[in-house]
Amino acid sequence: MITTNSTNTPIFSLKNVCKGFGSAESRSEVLHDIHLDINNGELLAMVGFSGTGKTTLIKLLAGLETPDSGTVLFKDQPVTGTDPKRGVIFQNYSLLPWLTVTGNVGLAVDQLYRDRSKKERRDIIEHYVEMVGLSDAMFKRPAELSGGMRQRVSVARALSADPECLLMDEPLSALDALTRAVLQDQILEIWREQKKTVVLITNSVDEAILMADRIIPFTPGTPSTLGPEFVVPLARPRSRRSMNRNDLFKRLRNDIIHFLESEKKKNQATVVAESLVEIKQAS
Amino acid sequence: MNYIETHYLDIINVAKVYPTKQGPFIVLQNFNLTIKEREFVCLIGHSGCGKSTILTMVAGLNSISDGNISLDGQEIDGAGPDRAVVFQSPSLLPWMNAYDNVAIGVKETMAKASKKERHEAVVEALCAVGLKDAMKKRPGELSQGMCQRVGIARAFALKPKLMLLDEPLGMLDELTKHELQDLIVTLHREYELTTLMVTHDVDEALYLADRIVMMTNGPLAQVGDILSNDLPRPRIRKDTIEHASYYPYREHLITFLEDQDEKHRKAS
Repeated sequence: MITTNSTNTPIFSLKNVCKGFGSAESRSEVLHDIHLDINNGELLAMVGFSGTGKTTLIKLLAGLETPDSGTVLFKDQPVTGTDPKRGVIFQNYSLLPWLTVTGNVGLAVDQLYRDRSKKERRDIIEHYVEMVGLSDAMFKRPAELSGGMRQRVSVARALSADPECLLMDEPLSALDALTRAVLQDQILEIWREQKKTVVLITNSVDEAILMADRIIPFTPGTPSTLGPEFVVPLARPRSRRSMNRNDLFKRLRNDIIHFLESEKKKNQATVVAESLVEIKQAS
Repeated sequence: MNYIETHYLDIINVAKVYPTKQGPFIVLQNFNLTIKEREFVCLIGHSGCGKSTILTMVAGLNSISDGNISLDGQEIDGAGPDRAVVFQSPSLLPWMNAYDNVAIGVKETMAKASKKERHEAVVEALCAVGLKDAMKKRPGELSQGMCQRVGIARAFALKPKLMLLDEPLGMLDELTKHELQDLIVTLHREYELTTLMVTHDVDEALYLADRIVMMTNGPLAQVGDILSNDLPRPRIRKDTIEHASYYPYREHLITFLEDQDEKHRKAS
């Protein structure tokens, strides 16, 4: 059974988007000519190596950056600034160290539900803290939490605003393999239940295949642009171990790796092989 | 191959025990592993399973509580230039350029050689890792990946009997990781140094190793299973992942690790 929340109306639509930093001669373009439609309710993974403008793209979607040219539309309206309908989760968690778990989640809730009573806001906070499995750690501060727990706080904070989409910038890259697997499952669970659009930026092809409906790679190098889309035709839930027996999985995984590798090779000469030849000739 | 060659590195009944107030804490026990000359072996397992403990014991940087380890017929007693280690952090001296960082080790191990021979050893190692044009650069001027290349060159320049790699690519991004895996594959093909590498990346292990040793969770960690990786050499990433054995091997390793996860979760 293929289960997806996706419908075919785009929630985001990017056309001809370019973005660079610096001015005049020192300007370097990070993203070049990005065309992208993101469907309502889908889980889209975008894979890319470091320095390919992944974070810049998330910031454009979030409204934290504006494009130099082209348009970024959210539900047919140009994105002009941040909006609680678009929740963002960063790799570094961005928690305030002097606030507890409920304090950090409360930041968003107090801002967005000003008309509610203290008790109601309290309930909302606890609801989301519970959703990410941190009820036992409500009064702990970030320093007392593991990396995985901190990232859960930031997921709870983003969810508490009840956004229509979640923009995740390598949320799991800093975690060890075990914690990463647990959080992957948890994010999938939340996506399935909450029916939100999720844009997941990742450096892991395996994470992308495990989680996404569709995968779009960034080309390596600067400026970066988007490669062809890869639809993930695998039934959910997906098993990390038995997928290795699935021919569709193998084909897809190899195709994406080949794409990234061949793009990379276009970008750089094979320095190592060359210098080995030189050594051989010299000796 | 004679006995010494087939038992080039011989780890026999090794244990590591730390005394604590609650009694002895046994990290590892009855650990046995034999590595052939020129073989590339990867140790995989979860954090805290004692993979690095094994590696540092072989390096002579960590004492052996029980059992013994021998290399090329000689029992290991402390650190020595016949074993070179590359750690996750390359630990370069920031005030020295790439050349001098590599030369430090060479000065010690080739003390009797001429200045010219030492110079050649340093240059060869730096060229082999693709840093011919960056020899005069200091660590601060190099990317993380290039710093780790210097780390590999420094180990490699010693022409050790045994290369010990302790998650050397663990801190690098995916692209740089692939580049350095390609470098390690090339170096192993050209120089055939016997290598023991610790990693937790199953794809890395499959790309690099002849045999993959899976470790059970610590404490009391042991060899849980060994996979003979017969993927053909020379290895080229594209052909390696297309090979019919690749995904069955991969499933074997992931299944082992997931079963260990299960046990870990039940235990805690």
